[in-house]
Amino acid sequence: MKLRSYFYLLPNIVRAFFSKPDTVNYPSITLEVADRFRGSVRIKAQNCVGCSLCVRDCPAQALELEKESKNSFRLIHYRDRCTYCGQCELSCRFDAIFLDNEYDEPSSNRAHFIVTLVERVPEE
Amino acid sequence: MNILHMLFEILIFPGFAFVLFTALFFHWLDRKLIARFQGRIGPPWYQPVADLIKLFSKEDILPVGTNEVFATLLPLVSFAFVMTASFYLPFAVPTTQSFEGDIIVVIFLLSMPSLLYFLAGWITSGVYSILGGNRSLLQYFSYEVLFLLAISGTVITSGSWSLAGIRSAQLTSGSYFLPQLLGFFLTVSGLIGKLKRDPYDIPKAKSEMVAGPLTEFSGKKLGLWQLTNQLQTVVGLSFLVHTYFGGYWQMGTVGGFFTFYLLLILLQCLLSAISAIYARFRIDQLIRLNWYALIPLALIHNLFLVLK
Repeated sequence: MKLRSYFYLLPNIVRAFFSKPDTVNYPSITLEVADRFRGSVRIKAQNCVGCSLCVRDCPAQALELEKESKNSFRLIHYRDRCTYCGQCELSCRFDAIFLDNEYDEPSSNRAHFIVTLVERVPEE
Repeated sequence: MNILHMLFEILIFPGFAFVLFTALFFHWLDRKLIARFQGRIGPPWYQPVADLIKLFSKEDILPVGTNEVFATLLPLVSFAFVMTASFYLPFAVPTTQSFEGDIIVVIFLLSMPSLLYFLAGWITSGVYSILGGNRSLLQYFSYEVLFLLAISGTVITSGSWSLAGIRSAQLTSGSYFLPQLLGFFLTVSGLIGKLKRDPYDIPKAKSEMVAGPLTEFSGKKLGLWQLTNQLQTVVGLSFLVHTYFGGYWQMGTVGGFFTFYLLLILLQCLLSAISAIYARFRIDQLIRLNWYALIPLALIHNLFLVLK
């Protein structure tokens, strides 16, 4: 019926009015994210061998490996270039680099966006 | 003492300050209700005040080729028209003397802002403004006739052209809401057109023409336009309460005041629900609906009331 089409949204708005809102009061309530959410880039430092597979595959060139020798290297993450695509996690063969569920802190200082993920110096 | 009392009534309660407060409160209520109907949380209670403070402290820019005197005067005059109308629709405390024909004055005062809204689009040089102004005038010719015809149902039944007469007629015969349900909904339809709310928001269609006639306005002038619109909502709703729920008057000053406010809130819920349910009409759909369906319906309704 045509008349019904004028009122078919009425039950929906009544239901929405009496049920819990779908949105949250964001800054005062932390947002719950899905398990597969690609948040900030983290590393299990003991697993990293400095193979630079992640650096080679990163489409945004957000990772950089400063390698001096096999046992002495430094993996740097440029957060301002990162697109959080998760390619590094896929590329890593040693389960070292991964994306967790937390957000990266915002900042107005660019130096805060350069994070050293692994810093390995040879043992004396 | 008498002058002080009068000044208090005009400037603070139930006059200027109180009506402004009510307008801001109802604007918040409207936004909150629509948000809840759409499953959102909605703004906090101070949002309308914060918006107003923001707009009033912002820089006032007008495009080249705009008549600055007119652009300043239009929102002010429009605000004054709605404010004057509010004095004829007292909140339980009668402030101004009612006279025969004041309902026509109120209808005039409520329809003038629509014409000024058209002029606001016409004087600025933007394309969206001119198009929005034209659209607002097109819309004006369809809802205004409907509003006049529908509201005259109460005038015919009460036999009086004054708001006090319509109110006192409802004291004896009961409120006109249920006996004239059709007339009430036709009046609400006309009022939605007056307030340019969904689904009659053709002049300021956000997805097509930014903000319609108000596109080029900013700062204080835009703030005043928005305040006028919020004020118009409250005044239009209290006009409905006076004409269709006039019986609240017999409950005394305090009881009458609270009943009046409660009725206003219920009517605002109705307007918000309509805004949440319906999408915007096209201009041809609106004119066809009004001139082919609603206006003949209002005419038949009035004919029926006359014969009865």
